[in-house]
Amino acid sequence: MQYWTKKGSIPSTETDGTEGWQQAPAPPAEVPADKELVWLNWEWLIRDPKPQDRAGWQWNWQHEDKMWVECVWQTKPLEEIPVTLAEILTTGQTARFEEIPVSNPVTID
Amino acid sequence: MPRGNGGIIGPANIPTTASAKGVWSLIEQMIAQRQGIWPLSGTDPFFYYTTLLLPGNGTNGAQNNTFLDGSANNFTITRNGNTTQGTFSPFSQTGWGNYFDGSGDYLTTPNVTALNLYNVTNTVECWVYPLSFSTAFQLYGTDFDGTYYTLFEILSTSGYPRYISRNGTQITGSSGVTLNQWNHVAFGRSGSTQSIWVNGIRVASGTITSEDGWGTAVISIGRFNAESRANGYLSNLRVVKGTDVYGISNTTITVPTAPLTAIANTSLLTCQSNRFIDNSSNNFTITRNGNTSVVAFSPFNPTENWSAAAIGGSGYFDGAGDYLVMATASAAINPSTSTTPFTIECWVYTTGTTSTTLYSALASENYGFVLGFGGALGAYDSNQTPWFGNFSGSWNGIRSTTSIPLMAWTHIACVFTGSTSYIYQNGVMTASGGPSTWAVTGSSKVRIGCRPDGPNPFTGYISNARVVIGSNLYPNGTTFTPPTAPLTAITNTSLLLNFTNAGIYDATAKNVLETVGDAKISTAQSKWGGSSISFDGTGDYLINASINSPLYQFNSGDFTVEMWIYPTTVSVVQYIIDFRDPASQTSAGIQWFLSSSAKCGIYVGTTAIIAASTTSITANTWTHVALVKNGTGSGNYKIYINGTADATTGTNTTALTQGFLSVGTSGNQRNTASTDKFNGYIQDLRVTTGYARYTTNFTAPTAAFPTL
Repeated sequence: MQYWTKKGSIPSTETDGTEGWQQAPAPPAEVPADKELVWLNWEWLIRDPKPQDRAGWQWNWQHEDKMWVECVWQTKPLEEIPVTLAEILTTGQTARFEEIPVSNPVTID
Repeated sequence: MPRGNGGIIGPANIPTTASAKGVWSLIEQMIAQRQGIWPLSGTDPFFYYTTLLLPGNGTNGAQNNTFLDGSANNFTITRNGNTTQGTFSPFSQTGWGNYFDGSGDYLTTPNVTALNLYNVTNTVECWVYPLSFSTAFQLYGTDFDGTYYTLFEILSTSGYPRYISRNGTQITGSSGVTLNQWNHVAFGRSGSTQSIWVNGIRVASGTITSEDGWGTAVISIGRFNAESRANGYLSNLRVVKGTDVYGISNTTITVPTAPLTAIANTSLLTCQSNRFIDNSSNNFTITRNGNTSVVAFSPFNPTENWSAAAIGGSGYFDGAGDYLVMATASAAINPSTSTTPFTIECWVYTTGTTSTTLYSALASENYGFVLGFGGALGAYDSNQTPWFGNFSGSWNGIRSTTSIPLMAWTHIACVFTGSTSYIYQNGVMTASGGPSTWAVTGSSKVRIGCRPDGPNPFTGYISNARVVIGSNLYPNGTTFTPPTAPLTAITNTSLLLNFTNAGIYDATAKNVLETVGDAKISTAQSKWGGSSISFDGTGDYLINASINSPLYQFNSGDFTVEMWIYPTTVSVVQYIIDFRDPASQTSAGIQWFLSSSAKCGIYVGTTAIIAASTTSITANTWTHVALVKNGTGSGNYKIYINGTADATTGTNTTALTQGFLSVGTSGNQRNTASTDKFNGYIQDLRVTTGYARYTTNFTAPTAAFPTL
């Protein structure tokens, strides 16, 4: 049976006749009882359910690695920084960010 | 032949939801609207109090988690974390205001001659929506300079407007503004006479008999003598020096029905934009203090519906693992030579910083370009200063010293001309110089909302992110007007994210909702338009991130929450909507659920307001349900089911201070698969803040709610 999606909508076997529908894969026929089936980023995924969040942390789906990762949840109050707008620099600035610890930059030839 | 109407102008007539022929005054229309007997097919006169409207119409299966590239490349975009998208946009059709939380929030402007109102004809006006009278609301004036001050304010307790000249006269209104509503307040002076109007009615007129100059302290909005004096919203604050705009002798004036403009002699015009800015020709600096925020909330109804093309949307990144990335690398997103000109730009609305490390809004994965924030020379800081650079063995770039204000939209454009690099913030050049070549080319992916290598995510909203390779879009080093409409795929556009692919969108353009589980648009059931929002009872719900939105902190004010529901089961507890803090079940937010016997229950925290409605909700049937809070008297909470007030009412005066939004789940059960989850369909979910739409029985809506 052919499935269809429009702009990434969850695929279904019927369209509403408007433009923009494209073919989509059919969902897997079987999903293990301890797994969940989701449509995400234009593909069907069978994955573990999201783990329970604990205070100050949040589980996030890392799609590139196809795994749940636990991230620090923002608990810090908003910074209260007096900000002045419309300050125009009168001279050009050139900066070198040599000490910014970006790990393992990747260059592609 | 006489024409019927509401009765004030001529013979009485009765409108219906289908027709209101004749001539009607605004008061008649308002009364009819309150009674639910005014045609809904046109516009909603109270749309400006509407803070959420989910029509539920769209493509079957649509959610809010698929992001589209609007460039001709049509790159596939991969979502990580729970990045989501919605209609909150820099171009909101509903107008803008500023929110002051009553704790350290205020704005300041320089104390300059143009803003000095000593002994001169002038008009000061604004709209104010106070949330509390526990303190005064300072609208404009010079702060305490160690001796004296000048104030245009709303008094505490009474809410009366008052003008105080420096070391002299006090002129106070005989009546005041109303809490939890938009009020127009105007102060007019000609000669030594000062008049004050509230909502078009003159409430004071007196003679200034003593006045000792103007004062030397900074001009503040929302603060006096180091005290917070603002709790609520301000919109369209205008100072006109040299003109008595309304005529001080007039006992009534016509209240403007559209955003104010910079008429002749306007010295200051602020609290009306997507950012902190003075729209007068003076363009004075507006300094944000505390966590004063820009909100898409104003006293004016929009003149157009939300649309992707005209209003657009944004993506929300929660600062905890959210980012987007191109699925595959492409050479199209990096400059092809070291001198190829290019432009990267976006709008950002930062809601917080997770740490004192840098983060990025837009970056190529191989460090060909990075638009970052929070970095400083040699050390991180939290000043939210943008920088623009590349990495090829070492970092090269330019850095602005102008911070990005939190809780306001800022347009950022980074340009390489082929020999010089520029950063523009809101159209103003804030950094220029090297590097003179951009050495990193080749194929790469673009990441949105995090560093090029993944960590340190952005926190807040990003809108209209565009990469244009081969064109320098903005004039070298000079100012330009930031975009006033969503960006489009112009020539050389390599990547364009407009964030307008939300299936479940808010027609008020105030919210970005996350579709959790497979909450989605469904054509299986519909009240109008062929679809609705589907919840399967096993982990599906909608949330407004974890934002405690002031728009849903109803405080002591009236409000209306209504929707059409079609539950497919009514035998288990199901939450319809919950405004409590997900971390605190006892917090002061409204929760509304269906009991296991299909009764409506309304609680604040753990306090029952209406423990169970008399009427039950029927399964597999569309039912219009409305929760209305009206005033503070007995029975101030009512549930209307298909337009009829339920026999059980509630009485409560707790100030509602929680504005988290959970639809289809209780706040504290967001992370569970089944507990408290709604099972069925919802359509036309509408929240009206500050206004009780129904005070008597009414005819249930016979058409979809107007979207403007």
